[in-house]
Order: sequence, then structure tokens, then C-alpha cells
Amino acid sequence: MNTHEDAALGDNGIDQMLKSYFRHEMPARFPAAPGTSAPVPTSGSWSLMSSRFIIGASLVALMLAYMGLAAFFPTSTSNLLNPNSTPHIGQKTGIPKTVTP
Amino acid sequence: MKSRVGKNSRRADFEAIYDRHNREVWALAYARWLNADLAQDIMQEAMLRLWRQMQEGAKIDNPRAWLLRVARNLAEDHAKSSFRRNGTQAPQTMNTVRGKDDQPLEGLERQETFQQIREELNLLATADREILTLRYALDYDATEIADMLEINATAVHMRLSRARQRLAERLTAKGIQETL
Repeated sequence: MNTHEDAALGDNGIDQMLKSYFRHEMPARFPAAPGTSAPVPTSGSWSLMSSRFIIGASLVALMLAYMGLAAFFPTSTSNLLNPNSTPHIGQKTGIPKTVTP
Repeated sequence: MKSRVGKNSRRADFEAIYDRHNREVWALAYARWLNADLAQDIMQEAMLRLWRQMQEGAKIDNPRAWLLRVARNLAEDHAKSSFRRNGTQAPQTMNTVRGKDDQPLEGLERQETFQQIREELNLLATADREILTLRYALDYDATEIADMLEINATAVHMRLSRARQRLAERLTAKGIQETL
């Protein structure tokens, strides 16, 4: 082996250097497979339907509660339906309305 | 029910392909531009395209060859778009030495050495870089490299030996010692 080859990087030397370089460049961990982290559509359709059902049921319950409350307090509702029965502002009930000339 | 089983099976197949070939695809993409982050983007994009094909029911007989072909095309497309963005500056010249502030001296010397290696690798042909990357990043032997690149094992030996010798001479001429 001549001195020129001794001074140069030997086979082992260049191998080690390149191995070190490429191992440094390569990611230690690769990310998860793309396109597969999204929610699974097969079970999603069931949860979508059930959530819609729950929302619909909630709306129906709200409507029923509103109508029930309205039935429990009929006066306010009938007054709304009959504008003539609505007392005038400042007018006490039972006192006839006076008209100023 | 049948479609659900089919979808799950396709996803499992895809994930198996991903686990088996992601490093190879990365290596090929890296060999083109010597940019680890870009190589990862290219690898992910190639895999995503494969997944879309599988979702559409396409039959791919050799996913490995398909992925490598797509990765090569994506790497070339990147060159064209990069040329439009950067003019005559090749993408790899935009790389900075990856390093952190306040690194110890050994770390800085290491980064400098890696930068020198990267510059010398850049002067080699892409085919040589592919062989070097597969050999030193993935520990592939000549037979495995030949099988993946669809070339003769003898050609792999020859190119590998020539590339190593050239790198050794040039790095020695630059005063790079075996410090890694």
C-alpha cells in the first residue's frame, strides 16, 4: 500500500463517512401513511344519522315544550290574537276610555 | 357490509405497501435533489396518489415499480417548477447546512463535513446517487439495489466502486478526514 493511498480515505473510511451522512439525512421516523388518518366513512354514516336524529328530536321537544307553555298561559296568547282586547298603555282596566276633543 | 370490508381491506393493503416501500421511495427522491424534506414530500405525494388509485379500484400489479416511477416524475416536475421560481439556481443550492445555533464545535465540524459530502454527491450522476443512497441509507446489497433499479448487479458493483473511489479522492483533496 503506497503512501498516497494511506493519506486518502480508505474503503472503511469512506464507507463510514457515507453511512454516517446518509443516516443523518434520512428521517428517524416516517409519518403515518397519508389518506388514512381521516375518519372512517363506514362508521361515520351511522354517527351522522344518529346525530341528525338527536337534533331533530331536540327540536321537536322544544316545540312541544313551547306549545305546552303557551297552553298553560292562554291569556297572553288570546290577547295577541285579538288586538282590540289589548289594553292601551296607561289605561287601567275597567275604566272607560275617554276621548279628548 | 361488503363495501365496508372491502374498504378496510384496501386500507390495510395500502398501509402494508407504505410500510414496506416508504424508505425506498424516499431514498430515490433524496438521490435526485439531496434534500431530505423535499424527498419526504415527494414520497408522501407518491403514496397519496397510490392510495387514491386504490380507492378508485385501480389494479396495480407492481406497486413498488409504480411508486418509484411516480416519485421520479414528481422529482422531475419539482425541477421544472423550481426552475421557474428560482431561475438558474438548482434546488439543491438553496439548501442550507442543517444546523442549530450554539452547536458544539464537533457538531459544527460534522455539519461542515456533511455539506462538503453533499456538494460532492451533487457532482455525481443521479443514477450513482441512487445506488449510494440505497447502499448507505438502507444498507441494501448489490442484488437488492439491482432488483429495485432494474439493472444488472455487476453494473451496481461497478458504479458503486467508481462513485466511492471518486468521493474518497475528492474529499481527501478537500482535507476531509475520517472524523465521523
